[in-house]
Amino acid sequence: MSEEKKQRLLSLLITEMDRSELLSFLNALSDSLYKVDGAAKIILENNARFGKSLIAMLPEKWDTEDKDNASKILGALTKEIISIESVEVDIATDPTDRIINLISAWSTRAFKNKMIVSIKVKPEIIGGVIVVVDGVYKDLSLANKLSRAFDEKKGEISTLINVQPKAE
Amino acid sequence: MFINPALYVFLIATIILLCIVLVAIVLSYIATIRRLNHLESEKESLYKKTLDEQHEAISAAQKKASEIVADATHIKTETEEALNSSISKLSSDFLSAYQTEATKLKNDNINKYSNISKSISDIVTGNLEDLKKIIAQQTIDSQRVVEVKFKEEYQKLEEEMTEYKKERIQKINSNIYEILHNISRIAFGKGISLQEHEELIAKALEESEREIK
Repeated sequence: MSEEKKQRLLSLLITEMDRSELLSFLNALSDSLYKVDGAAKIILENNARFGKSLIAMLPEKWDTEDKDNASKILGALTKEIISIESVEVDIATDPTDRIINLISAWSTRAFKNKMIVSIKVKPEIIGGVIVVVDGVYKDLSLANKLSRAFDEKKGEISTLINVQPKAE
Repeated sequence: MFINPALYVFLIATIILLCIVLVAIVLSYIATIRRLNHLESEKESLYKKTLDEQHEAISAAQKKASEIVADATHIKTETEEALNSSISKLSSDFLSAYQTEATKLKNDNINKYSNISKSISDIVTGNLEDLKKIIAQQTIDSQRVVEVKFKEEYQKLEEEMTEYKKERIQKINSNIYEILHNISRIAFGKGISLQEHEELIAKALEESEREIK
């Protein structure tokens, strides 16, 4: 299996949803490989997102004479995809393509190895992100900044709103 | 009319007999009357005699009684005089002794009562003084206890009040901060556009990238 072709396929994996989708696809392909002749080929050619990249990784007669080799490649690929570490990124709004691309680019820059991003939508963080990687929690949300601002400016806010009660 | 001669004789004999009986009865009556008169005269003489004897006896008794009364009067007078004299003497002595004893007893009693009264007065005064001291001491102790208790309670109350005030202030502050915080969050959340979200995410990711590196 060519490393370049494999990296091309893995580059399509950005989020946990992508990983789940690819793993389901590889599983279906492996299952169908020995069951019905021609079925695996149909499944592979009809997957627009991963089909082309995956075909490039397989031997020429993968669905006829070289099924065993193809099966090994699919198994090894499945294991590698499962073993990819993930980073959790919490955001306040639904992820758009631009946001996903931002996160993907950030992941590529920030980490040496390939990482898959698990994006969770948490409106209570208001804005920004919360990153959780290797058990480390980094709160870079707007809600956190607002709370810290409130804590730092407690005295001033208290004076401004005059909350000191009268002597009882 | 023919009468039987036998019957005639019988009748005449009967009449004669009856006359004889009648004469006998009359004679007997007369004798009885005489006897009665005799007895009556005896009775009167006896009564008269008895009365005379009675008069004599009464006279003698009266005379004797007069003599006895005269003697008795004489004795009585003497006795009375002696008795009066004795009584007077005895009375005088007894009165004197009685007065002396009475005076002595009175004085003794007065002294005793005075002493008793004084003793009682001393005891009562002493007891009263002790009681006063005890009451005063107890009052002072009670006042101290009450004062200490009052101070403790007051201090406790003051601490509770301070704590309560602190809690209230914290609660009010906390609530107000929370309200302000929530309002700010809502305001920020609603006020952020998609583009601003993207910018905030990009900025946060850059910041985290620096920290990760």
